[in-house]
Amino acid sequence: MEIKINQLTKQIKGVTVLEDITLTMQGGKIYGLKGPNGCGKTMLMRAISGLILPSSGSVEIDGQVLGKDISFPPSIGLLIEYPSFVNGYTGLKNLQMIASIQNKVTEEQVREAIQRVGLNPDDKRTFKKYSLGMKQKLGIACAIMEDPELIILDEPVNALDEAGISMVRDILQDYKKRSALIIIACHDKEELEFLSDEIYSISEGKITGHDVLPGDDSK
Amino acid sequence: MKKQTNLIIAYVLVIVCSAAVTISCIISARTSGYMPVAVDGIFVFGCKGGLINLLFPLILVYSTLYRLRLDFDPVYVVRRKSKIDMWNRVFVYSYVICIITVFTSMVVGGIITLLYTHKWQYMGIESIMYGEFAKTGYAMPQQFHYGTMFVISLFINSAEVFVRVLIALGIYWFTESQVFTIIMIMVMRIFLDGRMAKYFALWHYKVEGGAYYTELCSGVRIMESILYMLIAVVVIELLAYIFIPRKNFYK
Repeated sequence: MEIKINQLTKQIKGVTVLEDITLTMQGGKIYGLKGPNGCGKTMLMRAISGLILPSSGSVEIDGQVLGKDISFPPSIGLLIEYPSFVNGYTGLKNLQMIASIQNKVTEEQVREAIQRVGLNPDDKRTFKKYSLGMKQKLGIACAIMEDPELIILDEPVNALDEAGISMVRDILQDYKKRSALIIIACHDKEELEFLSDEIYSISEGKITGHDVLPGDDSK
Repeated sequence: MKKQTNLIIAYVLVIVCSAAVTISCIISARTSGYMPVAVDGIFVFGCKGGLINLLFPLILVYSTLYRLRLDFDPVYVVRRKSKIDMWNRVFVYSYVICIITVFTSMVVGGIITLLYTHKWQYMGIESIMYGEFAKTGYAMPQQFHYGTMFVISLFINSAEVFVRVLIALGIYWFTESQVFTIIMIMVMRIFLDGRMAKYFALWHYKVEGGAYYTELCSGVRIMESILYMLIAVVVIELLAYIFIPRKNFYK
């Protein structure tokens, strides 16, 4: 998978939230986005997901222009802010409902994804009774359950304990080995540097830096 | 609250509203000195303007918004084929619930009126034909069938609800405000039924109480009604196909 962003600019009600962003991302790598609150990280993730259309410029996914050739990337898993799971459903039922949209995965695969993040698929508790960490884990399970080629995670380690953070690291490394293209935004600078192969710094909607981090097999 | 519960509540509301309006119409008719019959209940009371133009759109739009409340969440959005695919789901779902709603309302109207008056039809066919000719100037055909009338009436009335529901849902798509959408349904009620309505194409396919035999049976307005309904739906769909791909999801 390859993402090409060409001179992407997004304005909302006269305010420029993304400005002249040009970058290329390749499968098999983890890309980190860093910057202060409101700098445009989440908005860039939305643009790559097809959730918002550029005011000018373009986002190409494997040569197909979002908003022209395709509405959304064909194989994507994402966690942006807090997903709207149904409070009255269990974690399993919530993910089954989402998986039924594309019908690409079986119930067994959904169960595996839930187990992968350290939750119990047979837990009878409804989503409403989940702790913050459990909700976050379910969101990550939702993002990976269909084995997507593109994974976008906004603050993936929020509300997670040490074991949870370690689990996220393992999952991301696993999907990286499977050639998935992973984009993460994280306020924890050390965590972001630990996870990422390349980091883009964003400030006031512009790319202000691009660091290619040295390879580390211990990741 | 689960999806099914929401649908059941909406359906019960439809039945209660239809029954309340029908009973009110029967009382009003009796006060005016005439005895309504089951046919009046089906074709007039069950399709009363207040139901078709305000109450049903309000109930159905609110129910649809509740059912589709997760549709704009990123995890749902990116799994759809396209934004048009998302809209098409709304389109089909809305049409189905409009048909079911109007069908229910017509049946409830007919049953309640029949229970009140124990009469299916007030006059013989000759009297109806004479009365309608005297009232409207339109000559009725010798043969007509209540089944056909029912289907046509169901089609036209459900289309009127459908057009309003579609407009309201289109408004919601771009404002993402439930309150504004509900307010706009009330504004539509005033705009489409008020004095300006005569300049609006939709007005033409309104089946008016008291002239329904002629309108539904003679064919004078059936084709016109169906044509206007189709034009309204096609125009809404064309606008949807132009604007919906431009929709941004900021949630």
